[in-house]
Amino acid sequence: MLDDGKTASPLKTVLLCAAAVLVPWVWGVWAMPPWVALVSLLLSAAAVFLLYGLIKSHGATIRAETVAAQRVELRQVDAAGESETALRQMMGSWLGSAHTAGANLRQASTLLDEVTQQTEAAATSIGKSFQQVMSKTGQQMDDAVRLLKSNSDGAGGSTWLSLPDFIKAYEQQLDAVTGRMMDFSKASEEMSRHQSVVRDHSLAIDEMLDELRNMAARIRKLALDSTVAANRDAGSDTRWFVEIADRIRETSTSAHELTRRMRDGLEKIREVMSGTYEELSKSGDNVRLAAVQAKVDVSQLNIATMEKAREVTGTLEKITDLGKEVRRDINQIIVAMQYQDITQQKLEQIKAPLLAAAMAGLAQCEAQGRAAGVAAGAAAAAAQPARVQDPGKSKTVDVELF
Amino acid sequence: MSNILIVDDSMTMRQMVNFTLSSAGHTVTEAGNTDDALLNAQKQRFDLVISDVNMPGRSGIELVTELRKLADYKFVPIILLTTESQPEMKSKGRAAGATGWIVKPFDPEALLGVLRKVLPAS
Repeated sequence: MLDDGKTASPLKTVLLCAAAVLVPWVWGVWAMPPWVALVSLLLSAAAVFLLYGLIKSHGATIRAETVAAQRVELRQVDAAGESETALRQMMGSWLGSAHTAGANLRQASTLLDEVTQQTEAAATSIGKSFQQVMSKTGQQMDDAVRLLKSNSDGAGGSTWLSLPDFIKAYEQQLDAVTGRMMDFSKASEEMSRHQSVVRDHSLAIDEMLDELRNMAARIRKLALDSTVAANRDAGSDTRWFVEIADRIRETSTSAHELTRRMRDGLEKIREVMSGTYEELSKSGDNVRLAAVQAKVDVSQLNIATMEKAREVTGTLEKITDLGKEVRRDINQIIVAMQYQDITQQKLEQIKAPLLAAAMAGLAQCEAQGRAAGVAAGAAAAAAQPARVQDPGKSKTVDVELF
Repeated sequence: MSNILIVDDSMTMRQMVNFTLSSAGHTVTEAGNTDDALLNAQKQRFDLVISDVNMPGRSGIELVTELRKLADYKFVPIILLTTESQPEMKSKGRAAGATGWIVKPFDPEALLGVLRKVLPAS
């Protein structure tokens, strides 16, 4: 009856009710007495009116329910419209966020490249500086160690000694000098002995000169005696004898004078020799003392120098050990710096597929947005950062919603 | 001391290897990719080649293959220095003719130890 949701008219309802009561009455009226027929007719009419009333009230109820259902349906349609609008707005916002995310992803990729380049540049710069410092340090160590090592190859013709070798050579030189000074002292002593011999010889000469002077005196006396004998034998021809005697006398005088001058000269020589001997002896003593003192001083100096050399050796050994430690630290730094390269390679391996996947997702979002009819302007507007009023402050702050 | 060619697209890595080998007294030449490495290898003969595997353009394994085609490099040691450690990659390197495989990061002393093993005693 109400399949289509509409209510029947009142006349049709009355006719249907009357038909439902009167059709059995008409069928049975021929067989019933008149008063029964009259009463049943009245009861049928009453039943028709009663049935009409019931149907009418039921129809009103159904109409009210139908109106209510229609209202609910209209509200659902309105809600669906609102949901569709909200969904469109949400898809617009999603598309805008996808655009923003894509832009941010591209910017992040660019920043990642820049960071990688800057890191590599920094690592390169550090590496170069580090290499230079290590080169200089190594050269210093080589120079320091070379002090203790001799130039063993001798290929360039110029050889140098190690510090200990130099000290030994220095000591040998000093020993040689000291030895020569000692030789000089011995030579001066030998010279002194020679001077003593010379002095003895000069004394002998003095004696010989004395003897010569005595001889001269005896010759002069002989000449005098000859003269006296010649005068005594006067008359005879003795002039030649006198002349000879005169010549002997003159010769004797000359010899005497000569011996006197020789004596003076020898005396002077003896004095000079004596002074020289004293000075030479004194000098020899001084040289000997100086040589002995020098030897003692040099020995002490050598001991101190050797001690210093041992200190230098110890210091250089410490420097060498330190250099080994530095080398180990360098190796660790080298290993650490390689992680920059490894990280870069890993990032490169990750970046390309990640960016491709993100861009594919963005393209898919755009396609879905276009299919959903979301305007690009609406999407862009939706992608704008929302301006939110801060209740605690009078001015607004930017908040990016992703 | 030996004449060594380093091939790596990372300047940092080249510097690290260069510093390690130079400190040990070796003469080092650097190349940033496979093509430059092949040009250098044809200009002069190196006693040893150390190469990265993953580089822009042709890879280090391709470099090994190309070097082994050259008469001067049939028996020259070639070490691959890379972050790759998969056995299949190592198998490819070995098949191409690489002498050794060192995984980054390398230890300088270990690298010098490998060089002492593969370089002919001088």
